[in-house]
Amino acid sequence: MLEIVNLDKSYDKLKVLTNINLRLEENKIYGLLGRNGAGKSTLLNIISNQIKADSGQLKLFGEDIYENSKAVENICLVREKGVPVDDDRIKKIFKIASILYKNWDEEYKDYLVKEFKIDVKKKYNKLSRGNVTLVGLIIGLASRASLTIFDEPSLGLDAAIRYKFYDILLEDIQENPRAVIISTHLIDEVANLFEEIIILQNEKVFIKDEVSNLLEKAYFLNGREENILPFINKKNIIHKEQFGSSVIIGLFDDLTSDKKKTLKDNNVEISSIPLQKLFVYLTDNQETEEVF
Amino acid sequence: MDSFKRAIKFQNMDLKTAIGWFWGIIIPIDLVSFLLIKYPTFVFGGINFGMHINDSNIDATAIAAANIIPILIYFISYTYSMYYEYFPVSLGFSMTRKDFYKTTILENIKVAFIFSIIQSILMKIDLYAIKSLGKSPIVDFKIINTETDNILFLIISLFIVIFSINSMINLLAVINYKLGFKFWIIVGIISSFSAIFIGSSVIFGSIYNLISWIITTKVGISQFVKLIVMAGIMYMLAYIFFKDMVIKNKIV
Repeated sequence: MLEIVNLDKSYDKLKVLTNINLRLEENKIYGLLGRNGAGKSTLLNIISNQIKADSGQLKLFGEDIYENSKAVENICLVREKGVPVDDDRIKKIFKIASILYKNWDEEYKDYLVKEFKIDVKKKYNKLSRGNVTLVGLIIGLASRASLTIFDEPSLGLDAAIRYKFYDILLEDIQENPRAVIISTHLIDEVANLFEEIIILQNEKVFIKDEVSNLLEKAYFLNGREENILPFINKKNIIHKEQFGSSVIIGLFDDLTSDKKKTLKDNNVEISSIPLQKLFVYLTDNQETEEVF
Repeated sequence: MDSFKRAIKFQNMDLKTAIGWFWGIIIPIDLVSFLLIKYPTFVFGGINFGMHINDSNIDATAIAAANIIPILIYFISYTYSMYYEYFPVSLGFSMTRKDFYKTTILENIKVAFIFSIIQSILMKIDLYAIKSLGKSPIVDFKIINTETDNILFLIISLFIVIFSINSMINLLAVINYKLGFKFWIIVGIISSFSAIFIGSSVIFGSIYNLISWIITTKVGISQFVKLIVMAGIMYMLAYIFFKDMVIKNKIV
C-alpha cells in the first residue's frame, strides 16, 4: 500500500533521514518508534504531504504522494501539536474535517464525541491538553482514511481515556480495516495493538519486523554469569545487569529449545523482554546490527 | 465528491458570513452618510446633532466611492487570513497545496466579482441619490464615470481593478507567510538603502506607481488584458514561493 524508496531528508546541514526504504501493507497497525530526534515526526510529515523529501520515492496505492490529491486524500495525520486552528469552536473543526475527508463518518464522530464527553461548543484554544488530543483522535478515527497516522496519540490523556482509545481503535479497525501508524513513547501500553514495528535510529530504519518475531528472540537470562555466558557465545547481548553473584542478561538472538533447556538445567531463569525495554536496549546499543 | 470540489466547499464555508458582515456594516454607513448630507443638523430633545461643518461652497460629493478604502482593507485581511488561517487547516486536513492555491484564485475571482457588482450598484444609486439632494455628484473616477458608463462597464472595470490589486496583496501575503518577520526586515533594509543611495524607496515607489497606474487608467480592452497578464504574473510569482510551503507557527 505505502512504498518508500531511498528517501532522504535533511534540514540545512542536519541529516534527519537517510536512505529510508519501507513497505507498509493495508489493514495493519504499525508502531513507529525511535528516540527523541530520530526523525519519526519528519517521516510522518513527509508521508502525509506536510513536507517534501529531499529525494526518494513515496507511493500510496501506486500514486506518488507529494502534491497528488489522489494519494493525499487517503491519508489522515493526527499531529502531536493538535489541529492547526486557533480560536475556532470544536463544532466548526469537525465541520471542516467532514468537508475535507472524503470518507468522513459523521455518525461515528457523534458517537465518539459522546464517548469522550467533548463539548463541541467550546473553543479549541480553551481546551485542556488532553481534550486537544481527543479532538485529534476523533478526527483520525472518523476520517476513515485508508492510512491514518497518530503522532503521540496519548499526550495529556489519563490512563482510563488512553485505554478507552486503544479499545475503540481496535474495535473500529476490525469493522473498518485500514492501515494505522502510531508513533508513541508509551510503548508497552500499545504493544498489543502493534502488528509490526518500525524503529528509526541514526537517520535510518533500524528495525522493521512483526512484534511477535521480535519478542520471540528477546530474552532476559537471570542466573550466575558462569552458567550463562558459555551457552550464549557469539550471541547478541543487548543488556547486562549485575546483582551480586547473579546477572541479568538481555539477549536479542535466536535461542534453540536445546539451549533453553540447558540454561534452565543450569538454574538460569528465562523470561521475555517487554517491548519497551527491548526498544530501549536496542536503541542504546549502537552496534547492534541492522535487522531490517 | 472529488478533492477539488471539497476544497472549494471548504473555501466557501465562511465566505457568505464574511461578505454579509462587510456589506452589512458598509451599506448602513453609506445610508447614514446620505442622511447626514440630507439632514446636516437636527434637533432632538433640545440638543443640536449632526454635521456642523457643512460647507455650502462644497457642492460635489460622493458617498459610495469612499467604500473603496474599506474594500481594500477587506481584501488585505481576507487574503492574509487565507494563508495564516485557511492554509494550515487545509494542509493539515489532507488538501494539497495545488488544490488550495487553485481554489484560492477562484475564490479571489468570485469575491472580486461579488464586490464589484455590489459596489457598482451602490455607485449608480449614489449618483441619483446625491442628485436628489440637489447636490452635484462626483461622477468621474478616472477608471469609471458613473454618469456616462453603463453598469456592466462599471462592474467589469471595478472587477479587474480589485482582482489585479488583490493579486499583489496575494503575493505579499505569501511572501510574508513564508518569511515571517524577516520579510519586514528585508523590506526595511531595501527601502532604507534605496532611500539613501538612490534617493527614493524602490519598493514603495514601484508599488505606488503600479497602483496609480491601475486605479487611474480607464479600462479598455488593452488595459483589461494588461491587468489580467499582470495578475497572472503576480499569482505565478506567488506560487513559486508557495509551492513547497509548510505550516508555520503563528508568526507575522
